[in-house]
Amino acid sequence: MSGFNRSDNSRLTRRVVAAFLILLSLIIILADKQRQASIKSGHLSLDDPSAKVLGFISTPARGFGNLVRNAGHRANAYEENIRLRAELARLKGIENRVLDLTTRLKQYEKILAVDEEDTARGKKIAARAVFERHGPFVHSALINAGGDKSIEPGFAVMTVDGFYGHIVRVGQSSARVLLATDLNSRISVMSRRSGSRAIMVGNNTSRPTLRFIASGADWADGDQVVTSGDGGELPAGLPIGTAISTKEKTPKVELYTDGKAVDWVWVYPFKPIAPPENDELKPTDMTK
Amino acid sequence: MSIEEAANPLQAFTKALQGLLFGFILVVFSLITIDFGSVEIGLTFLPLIAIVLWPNRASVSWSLVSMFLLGLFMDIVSGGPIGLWAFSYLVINLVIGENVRLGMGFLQSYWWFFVAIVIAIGLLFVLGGLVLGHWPRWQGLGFDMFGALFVFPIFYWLKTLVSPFSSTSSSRRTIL
Repeated sequence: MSGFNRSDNSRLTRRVVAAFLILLSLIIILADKQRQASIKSGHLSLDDPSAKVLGFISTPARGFGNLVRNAGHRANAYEENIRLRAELARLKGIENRVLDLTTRLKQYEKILAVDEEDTARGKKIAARAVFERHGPFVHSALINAGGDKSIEPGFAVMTVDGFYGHIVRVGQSSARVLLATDLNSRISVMSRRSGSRAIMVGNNTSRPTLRFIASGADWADGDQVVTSGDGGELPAGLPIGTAISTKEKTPKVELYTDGKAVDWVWVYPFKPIAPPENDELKPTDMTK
Repeated sequence: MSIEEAANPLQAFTKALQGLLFGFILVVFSLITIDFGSVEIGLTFLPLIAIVLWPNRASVSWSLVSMFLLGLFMDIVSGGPIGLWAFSYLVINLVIGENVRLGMGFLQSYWWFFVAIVIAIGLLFVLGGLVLGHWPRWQGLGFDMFGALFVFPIFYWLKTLVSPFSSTSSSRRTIL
């Protein structure tokens, strides 16, 4: 056998296989780093089946979790009912005020000939968060709606409680959401009370920090943090959380979604505002 | 160095597939994050149990391919950088592979599982820093390590329970 016995031959095969696979892994890591199209498409094509499999597997776990949560709700049903009645009575007064203010605002807009209608927002798209991943590098979630429901990268994702994240990758029937807590997440925000701006930076903890705050900005404990719409990537006014001061001087945000089980989410279609150089006038507009 | 694959190639291949299947199951479980309010404990390192308790007498070449596929599957479903876990699992297998076997005692398995986690954390720091340009949060990895070490006995017991047909010989897994 030309100097090789069977054992030597198989040992050599193993070494070659091991070296080849390790090299291949390194190439894949580097290719993924450069976000090459082939790797991205491979990632996308595997997101769809994994969304389906994980959706199927997570169903019993979700059911069990809901059962436990509902048991807790049933135990507190009486107290909850009393609290909700009181809240309903309080909100009825607020509702009347809101309706009154809306009517007045419309009248003022009519007088000033202001067209503030937000045409950039489309209809909300409902989807189910198949699973949420809090790994060492990435905090993301997979939802069971994608290109088939006209979802596009950049769209904001909300829960009933508030801002959850934004779409970073879209497959045919699934999409990946980068959570607001992720290390790579950067969201332009403002204080609803003072209008002060900041960038909410994810840090892989449940409380992202507020950075790039101007020296004279007015941020206080308990301020409601909403999207500012600066940069034109996300719509303005989406509720995110509450500002809280910390020992490290940089304020943090207590997210409305923190600690809540996320099941259904709503994707907010939003057409980003393109800069004029990328938004050429159509011939018909020019003739006008 | 003795070759400890099953004599029947089909049987050796099947054993590698058993390890892969067990790994896939663990990857799915590893996606669970237990939320304790301000502390979140993930099970990121759970699939390492499959590496540590890889079936004896499995085909070595197919085992390497299986571990590579397992790592890719982990990378894809976790949404992280692709190739990171594939590389880590292969390196961990090469480093500790000769010292572990399914038939060994619980404490020995536990020790090697701990070693595997330490190697994984080291690789995550080095590769993560190179790929993403920033280090992973060591607190999060610490909690994940704690979580994996906590649940290891359950999966060890399950694995030994469902593997009565696996070889119980004390032969070591030979990697290269």
